[in-house]
Amino acid sequence: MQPFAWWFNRLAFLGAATVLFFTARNIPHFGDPDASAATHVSPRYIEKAKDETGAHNMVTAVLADYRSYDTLGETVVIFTAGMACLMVLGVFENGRHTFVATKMFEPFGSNIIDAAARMLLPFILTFAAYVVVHGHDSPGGGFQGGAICAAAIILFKLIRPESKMGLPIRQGIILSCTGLLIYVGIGLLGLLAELNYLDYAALPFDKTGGELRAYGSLGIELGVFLTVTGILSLIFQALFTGAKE
Amino acid sequence: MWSELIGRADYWLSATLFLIGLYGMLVHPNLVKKLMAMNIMQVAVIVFYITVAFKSNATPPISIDNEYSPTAREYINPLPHTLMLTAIVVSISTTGVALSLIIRIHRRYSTLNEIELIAKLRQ
Repeated sequence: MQPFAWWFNRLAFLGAATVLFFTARNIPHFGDPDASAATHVSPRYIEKAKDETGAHNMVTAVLADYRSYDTLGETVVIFTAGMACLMVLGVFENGRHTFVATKMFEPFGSNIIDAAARMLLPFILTFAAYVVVHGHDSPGGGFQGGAICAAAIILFKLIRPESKMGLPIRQGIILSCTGLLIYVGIGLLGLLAELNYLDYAALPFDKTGGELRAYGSLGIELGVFLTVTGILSLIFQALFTGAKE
Repeated sequence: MWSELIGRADYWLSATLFLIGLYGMLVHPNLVKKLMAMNIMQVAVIVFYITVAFKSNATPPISIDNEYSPTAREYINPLPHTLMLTAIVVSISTTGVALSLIIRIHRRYSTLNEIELIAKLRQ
C-alpha cells in the first residue's frame, strides 16, 4: 500500500489533465483574428501606439508606456529575487554579511576559448547597447539588453574566474539600485508636475506628445537595463561563490 | 473530432508540455529535477500565450512606415508578447532563488532526495 501522498500526487495530475482536456473546446483556433484575446484592448494598442507613445515597436510601447506600472512591479520582482539569493547564500562573519570565494568549478580556459571570448566580448556588449537604445524601432528593450550584457559578464567570469574584470557583488548591488531609482524617479516626476505617477508628459524636454513620451520610456528602459544586468550577474556570482564551510 | 485535434495542435502541444512539467514536479523526488520540471511548465505557459497572440496573414507588431496608420488585423497581438517578456524574467528570478535554496539545503543535509530529506528532518 502506497502512502497517501503518492495517491494524492497522481490524482492531482489526472485532475489537471482532465481539466486541460475539456478546456480545449473553448480555446480559439490557431491564427483566429477574432479571438477574444485579440479584440478588447489590443486593437487600440495596435492602432494608436505609434502616435501616442512614439514607439514603432508596439511591444515596447505596451511594456514601457501603457503598462509601465506593471513593468515597475516586474523590475522590483527581479531586484527582490537577486537580494533573496544574496541573503540565502551569504554568511554572517564579524557582524557583516559577506561571501567567501571558494573554488566551486574548474575554469574551462583553454587558449582557443579564451581568445574567442576576448574577440567576441566587445561585440556582445555593443549589441547589448544597441538592443536597449534601438528598442523603440526594432525588437529589443531593457530586459533583453540587460540579459545580453549579463551574459557577456558571466561568459568572462566562467572562463577566467580569478580575473578582476566583471561586476563585483558590491558594484552589482549599487548598479541595480541605481536602475530601480531611475525608474521610480521618472515616475515621481509625474507626481511633482501634478500629473499621474509615471506620466511622461511631465518630462522637462522641449517636445510634445509621442516624441516626449518616447524619451520617458527610453529612460525607463535604461533603468530596467541596469537592474537586470546587475541582478543577473549577482545571482550568478552568488551561486558560484560558496560560503565558508 | 479530427478537426478538434488538428485545429488546436498548438494547444495540445502546450498542454502536453504543461502536464509533463506538472508530473515531474509532483512525482519526482529529486529537488533539482523538480526545478527543471517547473521550468518546463513555465515554458509551456509562454508557448501558449505566444500561440494565442498569432493571427493569420499578420506581421510582427512593429510598424515601419511613419505615414501609414495600422489596422488591428495586419499586426499580431502585442499584448501577450509583452506579458511573456516579463514572465521570462520572472522565471529567471524564480530559478535563481530556487537554485540558491537547493544549494543551501545540500550544504545542510548533503542530500537532495525528498524522501531522505524528510527522514533526516524527522530525526
